[in-house]
Amino acid sequence: MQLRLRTKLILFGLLFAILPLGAAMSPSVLRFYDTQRNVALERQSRIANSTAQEIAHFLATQFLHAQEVALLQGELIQDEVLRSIVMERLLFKNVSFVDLSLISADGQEIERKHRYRTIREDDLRDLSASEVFQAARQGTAYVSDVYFDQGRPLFLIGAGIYNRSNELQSVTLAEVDARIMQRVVSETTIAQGGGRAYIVNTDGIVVAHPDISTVLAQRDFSFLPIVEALKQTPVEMPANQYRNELGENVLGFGVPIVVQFDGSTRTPWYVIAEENASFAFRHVKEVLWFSLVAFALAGALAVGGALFVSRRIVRPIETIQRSAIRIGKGDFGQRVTVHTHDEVEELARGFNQMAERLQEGKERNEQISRIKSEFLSITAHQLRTPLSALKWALYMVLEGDTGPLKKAQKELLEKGYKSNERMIALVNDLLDVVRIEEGRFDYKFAEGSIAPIIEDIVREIKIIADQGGVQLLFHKSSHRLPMVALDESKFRLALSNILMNAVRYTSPKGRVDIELTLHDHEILVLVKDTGIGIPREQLGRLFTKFFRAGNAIRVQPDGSGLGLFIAKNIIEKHGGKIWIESEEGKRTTVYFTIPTSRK
Amino acid sequence: MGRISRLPEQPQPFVVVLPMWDSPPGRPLTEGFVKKMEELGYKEGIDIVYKRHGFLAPGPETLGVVRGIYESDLTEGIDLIFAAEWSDTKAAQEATKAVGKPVPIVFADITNPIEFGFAETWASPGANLTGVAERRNDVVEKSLELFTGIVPGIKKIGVAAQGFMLPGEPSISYYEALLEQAEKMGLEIVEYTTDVPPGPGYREEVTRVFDSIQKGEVDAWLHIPGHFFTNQQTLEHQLALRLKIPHMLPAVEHNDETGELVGLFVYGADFVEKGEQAAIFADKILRGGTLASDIPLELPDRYIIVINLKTAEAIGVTIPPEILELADRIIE
Repeated sequence: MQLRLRTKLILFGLLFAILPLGAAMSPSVLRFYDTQRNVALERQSRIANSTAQEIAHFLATQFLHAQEVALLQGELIQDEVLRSIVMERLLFKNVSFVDLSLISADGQEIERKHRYRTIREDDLRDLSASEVFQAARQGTAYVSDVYFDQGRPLFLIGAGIYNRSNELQSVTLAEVDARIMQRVVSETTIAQGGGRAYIVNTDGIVVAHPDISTVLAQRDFSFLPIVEALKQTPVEMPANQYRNELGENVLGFGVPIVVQFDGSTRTPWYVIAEENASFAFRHVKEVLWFSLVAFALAGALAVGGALFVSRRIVRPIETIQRSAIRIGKGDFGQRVTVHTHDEVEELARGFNQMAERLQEGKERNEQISRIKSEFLSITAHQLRTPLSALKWALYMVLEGDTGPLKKAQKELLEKGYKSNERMIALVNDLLDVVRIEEGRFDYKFAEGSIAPIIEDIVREIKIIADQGGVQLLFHKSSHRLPMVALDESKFRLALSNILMNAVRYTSPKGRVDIELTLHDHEILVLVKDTGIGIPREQLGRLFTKFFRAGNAIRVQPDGSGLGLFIAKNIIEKHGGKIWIESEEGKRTTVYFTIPTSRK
Repeated sequence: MGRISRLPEQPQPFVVVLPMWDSPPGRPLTEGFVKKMEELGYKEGIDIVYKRHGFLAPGPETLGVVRGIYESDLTEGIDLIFAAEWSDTKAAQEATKAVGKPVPIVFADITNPIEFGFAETWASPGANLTGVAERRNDVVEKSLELFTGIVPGIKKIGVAAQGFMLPGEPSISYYEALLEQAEKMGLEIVEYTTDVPPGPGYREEVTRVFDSIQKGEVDAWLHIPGHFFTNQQTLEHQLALRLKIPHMLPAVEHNDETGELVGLFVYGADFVEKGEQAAIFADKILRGGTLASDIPLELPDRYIIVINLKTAEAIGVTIPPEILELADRIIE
């Protein structure tokens, strides 16, 4: 691909301005990106941990509230009225409690209060086999997973109350409205600005979310990579960027919730803090924008510099180049004016001197050519008249106008007649060449049909072909050929020259085929012979004046070497093209076309 | 994410139809709804236009009228219907089906929504309705327990029953729950009825029935939600004051003309808060583009105990301290 010098200068300018800048800035931007990513993950870690702590603290507080029933130790616990009042008060003073139970050391529910239902004697349960009671017997607190009761998410917490000897005295069990946890995650989310926090259970089901609908719909977030990872390995962990359920790219951090009550109690929940990647990397985005502006400025400076340099250097060179192209097209009068006071001005001066020499050379060549043409013209004219006279004189003698001839005399005169004919043909060819070169080879175009003309010429030349033992065949086109614009006499001359060549350079028993085919906008004529062919290295010179191939001279010593030159000029004046394919010693094919649409 | 997103830019404001009943739920629910919508950024007249048709008297005979109004609104083009309770939710549901435009309906005070065909499940409503719903029976049970704890010795509770109650919801489910729980607790429900149909002279009939009740006939009075006469709870309040008996209401309502709470005791949801809660549903639909069918139903955020000490003083009742301690709101 060829690029203009001005374009190259601009590209080089851009390359040298932007590459170093890019090389200098990229590591910094990448480092900054890493820093921002770490900062975002650290922030998410902090938020996830603080949310987990908030939830853990909330749960611990619930445990403490539930265990306020410990006030009823000893004799007080036997007072049913007092027990009922205290339990009711504990239930209603804690807005998240739905159900509150006091379980005896043998696992029997001895008091139970419900926020919406009246609990009667027969509503009290035997919980000795329950998980909460078993956990309390082992000295650990109990937190159940979230379950749903007609639109209400609930979970259970329970813990034992022990005496100084660490013997289980009773167990408190509270059913907690899980919507309370929504407040914690909502507050975290609001405080977080660009992100949010939510809680999922070990199955990936959302149990607390800023949008309570997500909890109530029991959405399963197992498809999120962070949730999947936490399900596999329930430890603190960051996550690479992932797409959350809203289709947003986020950075996430997950933390299991552990309650510090009666030792550590692991809950079946994980907090996940997420931050929108576009928010986390907003500063990176700013830096990238700044970098882009810097690149754009550097690019603009580079382009401006390149344009300045091009004005100083490239423009004069372009001026010289344009003049050189015109000179190449033959306009030798071109000169350039450059005042740069440097090498470019010297180049222009040298260019002008060269143009001067070329113009002088051209004028000299034209003069020589003119003299040559005049010489040829004069010679041809001067030769033609006596040759014509000689032709008629010999003709009359041969016809017996001067009396009968002896056989030997007649044969001698016939040889002279034929030589004279060749001389006349040569002179005619020379005159045609002179006319062609002087532009006086007048054409008179009229609509005509090619096929009859070819047929006519074939008929004429067939006599010569037959004499030489060459088979001359004309293959007419199967299509109806359109009329074309042609100068019939010139066309006849061109085709005769081509056919004569084919016949003359084809050995006896050889053949010459003429084919005619119609293509889109032209008629193609092929003249194929099985003659001596043309040496490959001489193919390129076939259409030059006076050229004859070496093997042709050996076969036919006489010949002007003008036939194909004339034929080419005629065909091209008809708007066609001519070319030759040949294999020495085997065959030659001359192709030429005549356009069908020429007016 | 995590913040209130901007309202979608649209050439026209959202058009929302407000509840039509002049029953107590209608007004406080609407107040809460409109207030919360404003907090969420919906400026009336700019971002949102409310269609207020004026309050109608509730009842089966007006169901057709209300449905006709909704159908007319739906034909004109509306974005959402905010319905108060069973009757207008039912009318709106039927109207959207009849017109063939499943415009979202957000309700704020529905009882047993699955049973009455407003939703398929709590988690996934399934159609164009969603909102705040309750499980009335649970609340009835505890209400009675707490109410009878206020004044020991309550055995007979008077209610305005047949002829006062609307024949459909929400009165029927509440009434049935009341009878069931009263029987469990050994309480007698004394029903006062009337044969006079709603219409001219109905107020006089209500007054006549209440005036006919003599001291000692009942130990307490309980208001059944869903009644023909708009200000029935105010007349019941006056009855309780005259008989000097405690009076319980099932929900926190602005019950008298001054907007002040009547009755002695309430254990239930605050209707203003439920209206606010419903506004969040509307926001999810209007701003978030969420389908009503995808938004799970919600229970009221909370149930509160309200004790009106002014009434207590007027009827000469001393509220036990352990009950007072449970109260979320005390009117002094």
